Amino acid sequence: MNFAPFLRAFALALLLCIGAVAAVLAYAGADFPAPHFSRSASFNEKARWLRGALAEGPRRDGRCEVLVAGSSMALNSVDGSLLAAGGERVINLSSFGVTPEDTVEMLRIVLPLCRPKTILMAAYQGDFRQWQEQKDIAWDRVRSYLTGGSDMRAHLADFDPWYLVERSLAASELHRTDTYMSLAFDRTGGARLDCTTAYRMEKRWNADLLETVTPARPEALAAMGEIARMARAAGARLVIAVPPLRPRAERNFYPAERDALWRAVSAAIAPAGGTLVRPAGNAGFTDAEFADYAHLNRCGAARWTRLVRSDMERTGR
Amino acid sequence: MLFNSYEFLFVFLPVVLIAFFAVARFSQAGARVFLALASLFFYGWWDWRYVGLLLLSIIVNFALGGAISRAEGRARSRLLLAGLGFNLGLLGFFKYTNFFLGTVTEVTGHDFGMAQIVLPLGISFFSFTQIAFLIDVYRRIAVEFNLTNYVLFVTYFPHLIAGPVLHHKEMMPQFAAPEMGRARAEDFAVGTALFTIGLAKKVLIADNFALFASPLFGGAESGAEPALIAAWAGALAYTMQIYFDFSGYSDMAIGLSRMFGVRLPVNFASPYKSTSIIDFWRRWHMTLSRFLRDYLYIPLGGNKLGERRRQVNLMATMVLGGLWHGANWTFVVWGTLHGLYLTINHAWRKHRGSAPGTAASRAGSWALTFLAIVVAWVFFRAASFAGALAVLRGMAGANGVVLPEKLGHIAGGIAAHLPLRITFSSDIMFNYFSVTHGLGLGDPKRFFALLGIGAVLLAMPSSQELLARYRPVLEMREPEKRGLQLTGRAGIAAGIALALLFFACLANLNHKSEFLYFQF
Repeated sequence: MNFAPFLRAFALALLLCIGAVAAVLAYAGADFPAPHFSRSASFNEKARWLRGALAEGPRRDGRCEVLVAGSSMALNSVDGSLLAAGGERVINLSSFGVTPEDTVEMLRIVLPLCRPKTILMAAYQGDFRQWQEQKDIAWDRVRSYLTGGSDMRAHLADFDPWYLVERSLAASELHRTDTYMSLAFDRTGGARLDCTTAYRMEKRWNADLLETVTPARPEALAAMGEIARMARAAGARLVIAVPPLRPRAERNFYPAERDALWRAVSAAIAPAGGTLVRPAGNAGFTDAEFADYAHLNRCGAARWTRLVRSDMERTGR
Repeated sequence: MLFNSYEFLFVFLPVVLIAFFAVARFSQAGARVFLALASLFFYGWWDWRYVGLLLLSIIVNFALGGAISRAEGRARSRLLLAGLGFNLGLLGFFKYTNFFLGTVTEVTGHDFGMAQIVLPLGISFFSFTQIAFLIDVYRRIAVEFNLTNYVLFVTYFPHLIAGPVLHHKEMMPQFAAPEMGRARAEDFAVGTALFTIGLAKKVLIADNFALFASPLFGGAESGAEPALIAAWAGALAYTMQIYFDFSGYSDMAIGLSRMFGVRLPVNFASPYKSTSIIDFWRRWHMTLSRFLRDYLYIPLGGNKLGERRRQVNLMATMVLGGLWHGANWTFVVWGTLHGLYLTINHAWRKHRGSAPGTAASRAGSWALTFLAIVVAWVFFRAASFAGALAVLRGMAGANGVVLPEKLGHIAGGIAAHLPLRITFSSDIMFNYFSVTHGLGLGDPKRFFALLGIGAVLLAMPSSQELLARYRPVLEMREPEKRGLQLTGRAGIAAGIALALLFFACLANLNHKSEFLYFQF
């Protein structure tokens, strides 16, 4: 019996598949995906960006005046260049779906590398909601990577060809700002979305009609308290800023429940000197300044960042 | 080292295969020594400290085996008892010390603390393999005493960690055969096919079911009371997970061994197709069942001493079989349940005879058997009685039923009049539990799709049946003309299909998890 055709076909097909993966990865070139630290591509890419930013900035000259932290709210809705107007160095740590618990872990890694004067956290009610997607972040590996571990080692520690191919095929997200999935980080690490309506998705635009507001997870509130304590221990001022919602949502989207949630957050951070800011100007935003019901686009982000900055300067705490 | 890891697939296996056949060209004995050393390296990859323990166990058993074979009269029995005492003592110390201390603490109320003991990987398997060897020597069935072959027989890496449980008499002739070390395309093709099927069972099926089973049992352990659908989803997910995980491992072990030209015994034969518990135990973990039958049930008297004694022997065998799986009372309950099932099954068979039933009665028998198996798995998987009972209460509907929100409009009125507590929610899969514990069963559509795939795979022929024409396992004396063809044009199609399956597994290896039976 001749088994050679089977063995040859098996080997050849397998080599072709592996070759196809190698070709896709080679094609990705400079857009080769970040190491696989978690299920969140946004988090992984941000870790890679941070590694570069920390290596070229604070660790070299010890400067890092403002850390921006949080979820997509901080990623999309904060214009870091406006915070850096006085020459401050701004580093945006945020990525999609980051919870307060994740921010605690991230700050544990970053604060020893970078001593900020201010930690600005842009947050919305979704960051505290009951159900959060499991990201399975390998914090030990993130720590080792951000403190100088090699890129190659980080890739080999959790080699996932599926992920690498998937991300290589989605590499345009690293450059495009006309998609909700944008990971086109600016100089400060923010990813601001275009001021057009072309990429708007109905479901996200009207999500205020579908979602609810639930009381904050106790774990998330505890994490907020911990963030405040960490900021104080690092000699930094903690400001939690709440961006506006679309005008309709700002008026109708469970306002009482949101007020209660922010009171709880404020109470959690106050003992360690943290401040919660809900700029009075939040009510004045128009639909044209939003990418969806909660995320500001580039135009909205610029106006809101100025509002927050002026609030911070006014209060001076 | 796991079979489902890049280091095994791309470094260890190719290097060992190439070196083994290269050495065999010059010396067969040298090839066997090399394979034994490679197997020790494979074992030591997990923790080098326990290689010494494994070698000690091998040397003591080999020496005792030789002594038993030379001794006569009562000395033989004394030496056998010493050997059994040594193996059971080793197993007892590493596996059951903390179980014993915990139980005494529970009973007396005095805290005896816990010993710092790490369970050496595969100890249950290599202990049983060597107990069987000593008894076979005592019965004058095992007569060959070649140290290299014996070391290889115990350490042979395809079976060392999680079986199949081997008999000395079925392996030694193969190790000593003149063909040993001669590379054959058929062995490599059949081995590759079986290994790929096993890898796919583990990586693509079992590990995905685990995502639904673990949150349910974890949640129940933490005090949550799952509702009907979530409880059943978790229990069924585990039922599928353990089968695809362990039979996948067995297929991989048999396939790997076949690459070296050595056939291993069959370990699974579509157990979930069983229409009775007796049938189930002839199809599930067959080499363990064979061990328990030959070295425990029959020495206890088997069915030769009357019906009552048979029931006692069955119960004793199954309870000890349960305890072998793990040092926890939940495993004892699992074994006891299966002992009861078997006793009832034998009584029923005696009462009704074994005449073939109608299609409907066969379907009913299958359903009842499967239900009994699923219920028993709940105890097997749960870490405590409380956890197991919480899941079983959920499966019985005692925690109510959560139905999809959409059905509320249609069935809301009827639900109010039913004895069950029915609620309508978008969360039928226990995801609410993630609120406090970060766990949830996830997407119900994904679960039901996976369950469908699992059911189709269960209905298909087993991997051994698929490759029956190439006699993949020891028991098949004659090749059969059915299943996959690995030669000629059909072989090309099979090669491409299996390569794609292998590649799909490779792409998912980063979610690698240990095999469930590594812990036993």
